Amino acid sequence: MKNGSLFSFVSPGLWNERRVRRSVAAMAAAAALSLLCGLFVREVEAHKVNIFAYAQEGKVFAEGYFVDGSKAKNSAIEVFDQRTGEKLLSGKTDDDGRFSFQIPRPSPLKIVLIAGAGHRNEYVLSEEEVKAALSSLHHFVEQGEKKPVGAPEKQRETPGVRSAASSCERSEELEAIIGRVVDSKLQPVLTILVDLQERSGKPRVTEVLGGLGYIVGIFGVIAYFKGTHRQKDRTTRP
Amino acid sequence: MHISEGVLSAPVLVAGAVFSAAGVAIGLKKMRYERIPEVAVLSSAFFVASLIHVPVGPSAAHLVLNGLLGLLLGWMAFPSIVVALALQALLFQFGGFTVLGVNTFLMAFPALVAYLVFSPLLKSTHFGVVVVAAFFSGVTGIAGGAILIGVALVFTGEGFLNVAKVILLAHAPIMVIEGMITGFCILFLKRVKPEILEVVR
Repeated sequence: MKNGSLFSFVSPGLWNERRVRRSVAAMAAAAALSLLCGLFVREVEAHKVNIFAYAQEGKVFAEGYFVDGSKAKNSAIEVFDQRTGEKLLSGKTDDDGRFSFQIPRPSPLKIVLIAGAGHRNEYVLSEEEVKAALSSLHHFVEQGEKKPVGAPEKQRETPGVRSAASSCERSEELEAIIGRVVDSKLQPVLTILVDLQERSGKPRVTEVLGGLGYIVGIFGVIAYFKGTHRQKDRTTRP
Repeated sequence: MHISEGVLSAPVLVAGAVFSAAGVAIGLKKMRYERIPEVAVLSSAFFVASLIHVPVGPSAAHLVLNGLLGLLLGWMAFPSIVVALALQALLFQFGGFTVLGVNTFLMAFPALVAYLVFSPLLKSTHFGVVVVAAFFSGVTGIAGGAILIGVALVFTGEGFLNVAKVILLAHAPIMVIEGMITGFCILFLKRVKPEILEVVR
C-alpha cells in the first residue's frame, strides 16, 4: 500500500474515506498493469523520424530512419545553407532511406528530412566537418595524380603546406599511409556509430520508468495543493 | 500521432497552445482531490501506450488511448495528456516542446468529444449500448486526432484531404483496436467499479 502512505502524508484524515481508499487500490492495480505493459514491450514504435549525416570526400551521406529502425524510404530531403537559410538542393531518399550529394559550398549545411504527415527532422553538418570533407577531397585528388592507387584519405592538411624537400615527401608518404590505415580501421567504428545513433532514438526502460516516476511526482504536487485547499475549507467551515 | 517540431507555422502553434492551455485550466479546475490518483494513472497509461506498437495494416501505429482517457476523465483529460506528452517530448523526443500545445489539443480534444457524446450512454443498464458507446469512443479518439492533424497540416501545404486520408488509413486498424480496448476497459470498470464512470461535469 505505497499509495496509501503517500496520500495519508498529504492529508492524514482523508485516507480513511472509504471511497478514496477503494479508488486508490483500483488505480494501483491499473498502474501495476500499465507498468508491466511498459516493461514487456520490446517493439517500440512511434512515428518519430531520425536523420543522420556525415561528410566524406566532398560528399554528404545522409540516412533517414524511423524510431523502430525501419528506413525512411522515398522521403523528401532538402538541404539548406545553415547560415543564410538559402535552399541549396532537394531530392528523395532511396529504398534504403539513403541520400547523398556533392557538397555545394563550404558552409554549414542543414539537411531536412520530411517523411510526410507531420514527421520531420533535421541534421546540421558543421562548417568544420564540411570543410574537412572538402579539403580531404582536394588532397585526395592531388595524391591520386601522383599515385593512382591512393585509397580514400582524410587529411586536413592543406596542399600549400607541403614543400618539395625529400624529407617532407617522405613524411607525407608516411602520413598518407597512416591516413589509409586509420581510415580502414575507422570504418567499422563509423558503422557502429551510425548504429548507435539509430538505437539511441529508441526509448529505454529507464526512461519509461523515469517518466512514470515524474507523473507520480507531478500529480503528487497537484494533490498536495488541492489537499491544502481542502483542509483550509474544512477548518474555516467547522 | 505526434507532429514533429518545425513542421507547423507559428499561428497554428500559438492557436494550439492557447486552446490547450484553456483546456488544461478547465481540467485542473474540475479535478477533485479524490480523482487525482485516477488522472495520474491514466496519464501514466497514456505515457506508456505510445510505446505499444501494433503491427497491423500497412503502417504500424501505436496505441493512444485518448478515447478511454476522455470517457473516464472528461475535461481532466487535458491536464492528464499534457503531462504525459511533455514527458514523452522530454524523454523520448516524440513531438517537442514547441508543438506541445498542438499535440495536446489534437489528442485531448477528441477525448473531450468522446466524453461529451458517449459518456451519457455509459449509464445505460443495457450491455450492448455500453459496449458500442465505449467502442466508438476509442474510434473517435483516433479518428478525431487524425482529422485534427490534417487540419494542422493544411497550413504547411500538404493538403488536408491527402494527409487526413493517409493518416486515417494508416490508423484504421488501430482505431478498431482502441475501440476494443476501450470497450473492454469500460465493461470491466462498470462491473467492478461503476462509480468511476460518473465523471464530474
